Amino acid sequence: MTNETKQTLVIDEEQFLPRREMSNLERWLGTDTYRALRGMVTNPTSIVGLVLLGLFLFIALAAPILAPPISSNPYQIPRDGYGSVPKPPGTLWNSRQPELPFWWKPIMGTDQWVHIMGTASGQWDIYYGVVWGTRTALQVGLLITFVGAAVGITIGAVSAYYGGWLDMVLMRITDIFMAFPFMLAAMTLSAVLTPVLGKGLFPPMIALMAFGWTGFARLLRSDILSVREREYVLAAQVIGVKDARILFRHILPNAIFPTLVLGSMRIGSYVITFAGLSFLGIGAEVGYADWGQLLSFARAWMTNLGEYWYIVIFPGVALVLFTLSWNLVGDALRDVLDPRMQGSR
Amino acid sequence: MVNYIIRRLLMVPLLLFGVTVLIFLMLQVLSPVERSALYVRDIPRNERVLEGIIKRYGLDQPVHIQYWKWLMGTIDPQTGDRQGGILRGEFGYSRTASQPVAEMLARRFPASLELALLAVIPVIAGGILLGVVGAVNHNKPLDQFVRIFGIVGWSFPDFVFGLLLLMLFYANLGWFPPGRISDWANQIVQSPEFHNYTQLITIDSLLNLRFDIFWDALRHLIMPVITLAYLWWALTLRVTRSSMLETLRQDYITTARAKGLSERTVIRRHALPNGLMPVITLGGNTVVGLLSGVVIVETVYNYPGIGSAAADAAVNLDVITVLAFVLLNGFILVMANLIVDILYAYIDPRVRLD
Amino acid sequence: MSKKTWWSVLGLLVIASMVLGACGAPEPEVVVETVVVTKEVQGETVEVVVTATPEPVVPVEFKSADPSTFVVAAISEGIDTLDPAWNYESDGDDIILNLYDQLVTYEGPNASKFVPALATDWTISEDGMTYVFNIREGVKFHNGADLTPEDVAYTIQRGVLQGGTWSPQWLFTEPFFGTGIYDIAELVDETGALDDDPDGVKAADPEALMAACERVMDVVQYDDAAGTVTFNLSQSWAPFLATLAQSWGSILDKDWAIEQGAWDGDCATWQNYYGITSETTPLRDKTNGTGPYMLESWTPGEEKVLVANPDWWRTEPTFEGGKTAPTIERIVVKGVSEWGTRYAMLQAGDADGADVPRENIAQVDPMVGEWCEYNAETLGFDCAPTENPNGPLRLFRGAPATTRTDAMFVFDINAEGGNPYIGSGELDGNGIPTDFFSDVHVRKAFNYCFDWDAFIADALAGEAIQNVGPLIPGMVGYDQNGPMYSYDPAMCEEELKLAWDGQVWENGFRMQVAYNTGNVTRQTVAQILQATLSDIDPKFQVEIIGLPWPSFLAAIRASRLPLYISGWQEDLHDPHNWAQPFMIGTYAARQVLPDWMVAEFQELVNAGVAATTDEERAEVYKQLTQLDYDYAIAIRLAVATGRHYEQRWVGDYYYNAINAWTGRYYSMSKQ
Repeated sequence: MTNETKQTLVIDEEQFLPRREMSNLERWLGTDTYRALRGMVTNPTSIVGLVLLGLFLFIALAAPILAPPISSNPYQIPRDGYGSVPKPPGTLWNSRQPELPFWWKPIMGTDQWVHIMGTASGQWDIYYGVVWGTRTALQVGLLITFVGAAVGITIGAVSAYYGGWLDMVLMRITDIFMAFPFMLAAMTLSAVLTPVLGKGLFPPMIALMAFGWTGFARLLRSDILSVREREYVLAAQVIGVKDARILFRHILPNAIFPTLVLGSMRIGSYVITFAGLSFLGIGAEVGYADWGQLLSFARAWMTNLGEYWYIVIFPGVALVLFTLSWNLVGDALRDVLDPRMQGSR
Repeated sequence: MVNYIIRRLLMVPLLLFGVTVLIFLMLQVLSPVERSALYVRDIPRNERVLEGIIKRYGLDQPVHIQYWKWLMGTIDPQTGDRQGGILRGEFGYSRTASQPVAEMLARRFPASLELALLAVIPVIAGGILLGVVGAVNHNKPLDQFVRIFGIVGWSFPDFVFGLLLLMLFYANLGWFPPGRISDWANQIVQSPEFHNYTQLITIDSLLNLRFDIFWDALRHLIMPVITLAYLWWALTLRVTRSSMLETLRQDYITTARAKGLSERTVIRRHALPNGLMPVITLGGNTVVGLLSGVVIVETVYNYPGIGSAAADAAVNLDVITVLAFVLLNGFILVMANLIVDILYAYIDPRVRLD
Repeated sequence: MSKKTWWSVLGLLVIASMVLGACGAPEPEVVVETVVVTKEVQGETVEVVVTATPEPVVPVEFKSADPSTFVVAAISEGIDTLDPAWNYESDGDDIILNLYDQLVTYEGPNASKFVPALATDWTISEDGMTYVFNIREGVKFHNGADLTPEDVAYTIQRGVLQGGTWSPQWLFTEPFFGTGIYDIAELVDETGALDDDPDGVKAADPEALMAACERVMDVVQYDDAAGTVTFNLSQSWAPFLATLAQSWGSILDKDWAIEQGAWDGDCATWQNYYGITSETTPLRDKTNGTGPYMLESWTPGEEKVLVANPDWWRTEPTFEGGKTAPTIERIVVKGVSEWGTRYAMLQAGDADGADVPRENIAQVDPMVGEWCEYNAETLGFDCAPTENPNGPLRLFRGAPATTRTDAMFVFDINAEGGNPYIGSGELDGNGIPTDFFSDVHVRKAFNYCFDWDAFIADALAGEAIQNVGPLIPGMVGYDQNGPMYSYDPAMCEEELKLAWDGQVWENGFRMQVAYNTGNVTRQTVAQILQATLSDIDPKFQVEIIGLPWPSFLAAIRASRLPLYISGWQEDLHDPHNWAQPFMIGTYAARQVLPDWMVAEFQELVNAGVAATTDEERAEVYKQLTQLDYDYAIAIRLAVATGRHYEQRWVGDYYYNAINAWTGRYYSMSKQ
């Protein structure tokens, strides 16, 4: 899944000179940003995406209240015994019961803690895993994308702006990284890093960062190349504006939007890839609150899913909705940022 | 044009060199003992095993020597014969697949190719259809549905989707089995009466006029194909849709409409040919993407292609096997890009290759 | 809400419901109360139920679609080689033992009694050092060649000369040349520097090379005229027949092997074949045995196909009721790593037998129609119908496995360059010193603090027996009533107070216990220790760390883990194969046991292997078990009792511990 579609952003000046009143908010934010924001909150798909995203954000922030941790490491899912057969939602918690959060009694009407979403093989509490897994997913998705995008943007910008042999070298390096099949590269690198860094989130994260930046670099480079030939950039060069200033003030802001869209869509797909690695046995340690890890428990019970549906549905739905929310937002963002869509809306 | 092709082809060895060096460097993170873990399944039976393995496979040698050996092979001190060496066409032995890498690729690559080729058809056809439908009905309910269909597909982890299909269509309904071919059919395929022209069972069975085997192979392919296709539809339809939307806004479309041509004619004659240009690129990318994307799908369906072998190799740090897979993949990638470029130049006179 | 908004929301809903529908819809018609079924059918109650209520069940015929082919869905198809001298995997044994014959074989299900195979009879000298085998006449290899004593001698000589420390050949070099000799190269250079170094061996002194080969020739001699093969061992070796009966004792055809490119039988050239590996051996994928099946094809990673050998030589069954010719035409062993696929194959009847991991038994049990419990007296199974008498599967259960997992203490932990597993490295409550486990009280405390009941109930689904000492149940010298620890927090506390002059009790400790990721049993062992020790006092902190296999291996090898959890699968069904690795060999070496202790063990282990009668051996191993208990060098855990599922149209299965649950296919039948 290495190839994202390329969309060049053409700033068609005339379209942005509407002869109409501007609100204060619009004036303060600037026309483009205002329009984008307005688009985001009026576009139905993005509303759904944003609401979902908000929900996940809430769950992540409220995790200690929703599922109080019982050990010093909150990402360690508590387990109720060691048996292998999953237990259905509503099963009473037998051993090492966590503390009851304040909301429990009023809502649930009992002071017995139960496995709200059942337990997975090994008696790991699914509810706890799903709640704290939200934090993991956010961290993993954002961090990988942020680092990947930062590296990619730097390389893409430098490469496009300076051109020449530097461009040549950087792009060939990019080619080498892109010649790797992404999934396999991530698997190999995390398998190599795991003995060194220990089992955990870092090996697959680093692996995904190491191979995830190329898309950003390519996209930004081509967008900059098209922006660079614009009159206002040429004009700035003629009047002797410094390189860095031209790059940061004139080129990047105009070329960055497709990269941002790509970024928002990538968050979801990184979380999926990360979960896929966990599913194959690379990644988070057993019992770490991570959706992919929870889903890998389900691997052995898939054929009896009618009976043990909860071990795949809860983490599975969380994973799908999480990815979906980013993709909905990204898709909407693409539409609102693309001025050519303006007329047709 | 010829110059361009030669230049591009010259890039191939450079690219592959870079890729293999990168893999060797990655491996240097591990100590020789850790690397020897590939050769033992559990705690060794006697205490001298690990030393023996490290010595026998030269795991403690410096990286450049190991790379050179992999590239050029080793010389037998008694006979002076050279053995192995990737440049001499010897890919080495795959520990995880328990056979020489070349044999493994020869056996498994056709299986993956068959899967990828079959998946490309629904991906491109379905994706284009949906994309065009979406663009033509821009912002109408159908468009919204198509968009969301695509986004959901893109958001669905392939392993979850794959296992759900397997459970439903194999375990419960018994329609589509996992694997590549049934045992009875395999016996026939292996027998001397059956001619393996292409190693692609679906095609070979048709050529041999064995429709029962064709049907059997197809039954095994349906689920992995659907899994791959569903996830890749999203991308195709998105590209088609936005490209078509852009084309539909062009002046000549407006002119065509102004001439009074029916909407159907406008789309068929004028919009489609231009709107589908990016799909060529996408087609090339899809084949490459599918080939590398089979890693998880093949694992889930127990499909004996290169993807499942590569996944196994990567997890077990079987670097010889991983290298072969990456080399193959890199080669296909470069070639696909080249073909796409040439196609472009051929179709669109404005594009010049130089 | 505008119209298009409404539509997109609807679209989302439709897709979401499709997703959920796909997940929720396929509910297989299985009963949830599997656990209840299990309990009710266990043990003697079964017979009572059956005789009391002769159920008027309409007998169901179990017939397969294709009785001529037997399909096994194995968890992996993970073998490197079919060269009998190199194969060291049970998956490989499964094939090789059906293709080749050995000099002797097991008496059906009995893993300790041997009956003639390619040898018609044999004599053992008084001192136990000389074995003479009379070789059967008229046996033909699959290629039509005749079996001769020369073939037998060549086979064993070739294996030993081919060497390789990670091949099974060390099981021959020890009885042939003395304990502690693991490779033929050690006859050339006794320091072991030439082990697995083919270039070094080739460059070695030709005279030394010749001498080494001649020693092999002296040990294994043949006489074609008399039809005998003689083994002159360096010492009395009780498990020698057991060694010959295994897959590495499989007899090759000499001429054929040379044709394939194996050693040519000349002492002047053996060094050129030394150091061949499992993947470079010329016999990697070529076979030519005398066995009941012939190899039709082997597709690595996918399947192995065997076809019956119509000319198999056997005329006498190996045990009463055994067969003398294969009845199933073809055997297909498929490697299917995904459990869901194997399960579906069982369900659909596509697999006649399948590997079922312990954590998945609850899924399969509802399909079981006949339940067969192991009977240690008869070595057979007592079968009875279950509550679902028409279920398509038969379950065999209760036979003790030949593998065990233990927790081993490391007496002198390697802390070179820092060691994260032992915290501060001091007894300050935040770590442990490197010689923490050299105090017997610490080791006893850990033993008293291990909850076997929880381990057996949770990790092994209640199907296991707590193990006494280093041997496993069913062996000479094993006594279930021997000395063993049991979970006793009070004793644990007492021992902890005594340990390190009370410092442990005062300060507490912190250490990490590692397991290799993916190994649930090892993980559970660590978790039980963590829980029980912190129940005594939270200042006794055990942290659990899952290591990837390479780092786990490296850490154990370097003795960096304070306590490691590891398992052993026996090579031979003989007490020596347990006493050696656990008391002086591969495990003991990593545990860095003190020299005086090793010396004490060594004496007993050597006496045990050399003793010629069972009574003598039993006495020696009893002493060893007592020492193991007194010194508490490890936590001896439990031996699981295995399960085996097959379709009910399969018949004539028997269980021999040494083959675990895979069988000699010629003795089975299919309807």
